[in-house]
Amino acid sequence: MVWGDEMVIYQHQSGDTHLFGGTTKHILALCVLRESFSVNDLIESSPDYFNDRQEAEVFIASIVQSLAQKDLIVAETL
Amino acid sequence: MTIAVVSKVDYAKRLADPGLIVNSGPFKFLIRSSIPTVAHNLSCLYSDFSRFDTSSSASFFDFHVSIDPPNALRRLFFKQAQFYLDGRLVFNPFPLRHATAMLEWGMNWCVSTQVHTYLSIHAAVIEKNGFAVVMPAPPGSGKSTLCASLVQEGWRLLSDELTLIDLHTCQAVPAPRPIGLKNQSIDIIKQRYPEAVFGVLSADTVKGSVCHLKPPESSVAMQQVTCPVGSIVFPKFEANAVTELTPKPKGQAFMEIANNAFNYSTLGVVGFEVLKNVVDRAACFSFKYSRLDEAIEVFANLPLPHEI
Repeated sequence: MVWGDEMVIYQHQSGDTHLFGGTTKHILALCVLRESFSVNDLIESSPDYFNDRQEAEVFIASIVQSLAQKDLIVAETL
Repeated sequence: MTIAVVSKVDYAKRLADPGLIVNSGPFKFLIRSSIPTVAHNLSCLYSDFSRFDTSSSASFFDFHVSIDPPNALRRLFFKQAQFYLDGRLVFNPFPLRHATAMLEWGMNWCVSTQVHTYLSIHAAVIEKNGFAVVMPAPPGSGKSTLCASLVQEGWRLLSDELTLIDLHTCQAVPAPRPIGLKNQSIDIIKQRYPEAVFGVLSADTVKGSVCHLKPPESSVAMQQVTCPVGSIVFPKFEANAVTELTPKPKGQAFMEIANNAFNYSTLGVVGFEVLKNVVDRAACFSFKYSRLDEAIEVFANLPLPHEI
């Protein structure tokens, strides 16, 4: 369920409910719209401002890893 | 037979056996007790929605509850009472002087732990103009004081403790019972509304002094009338705080209500879908207050869902 900048998700496998906002919500919203996307896609479309490219990649990677650990997305290294 | 025509002695005898029938919204309790203060409390607080069964036929009850002193040997050493559900001992024995409060808490426990045909949330719920206002809040936030005041000001009481949401219609289901007030709140409401009817005071409980306020007859009369949830207000009493009603993001409201629900996890995806519908249709607010007059005015002017 999306309310403005927030997204609430119910995970059927675990029965957990998650609240996401900001870039995390943006990544999940992209997951719903597209089958797959790259880190570049995420950085370019992220609502957050990043000072440099490396900082952005580290930040996005940490979010992707966190979502993957929760089994909400599948992250693949190509 | 109505309670009004039963003498005090007869009332106490009948409460001990066959017991008092209390209808609270969708639930039917059969209450038995041989404790005189419990009889007095019930006759004060439940006169509008209880009766003694005069028929000889067996009836169905959702909960058979009783509260009585322990066995004779234990009774010699301790002035205690015990709460039973369907003949089973549920809690550890507690001081006899807390029996009235324990009965109310025990009845709340019955619904919150045994009933999963509704989404049940630890929140007060009142109604005006056809829309319910749900007030989820942790202990100490002034929820019951605010609820008691609003009810005395003409709001309909659906419940002070348990907001029940119908799993099919997502509407609030009334289950009115007396409002539990603690410590200073008791005197605040007594002074503000001298005509309000209070039950027996239980002093020095784990929650301090506890006393219950009789629900208005009009709320009891409408206890089968459900209504949509118009607003969700998270109240917080803060001494000297400026009265402030601020919109609350719905995602945060959803998570807080889910955490305050007794059976959200048990209901699984059904609980999620029901709560999603409720939050989606309702306006959500945080509310800080220190003055009851101002709080009452804010609630009188709460926007209806279609006005937002």
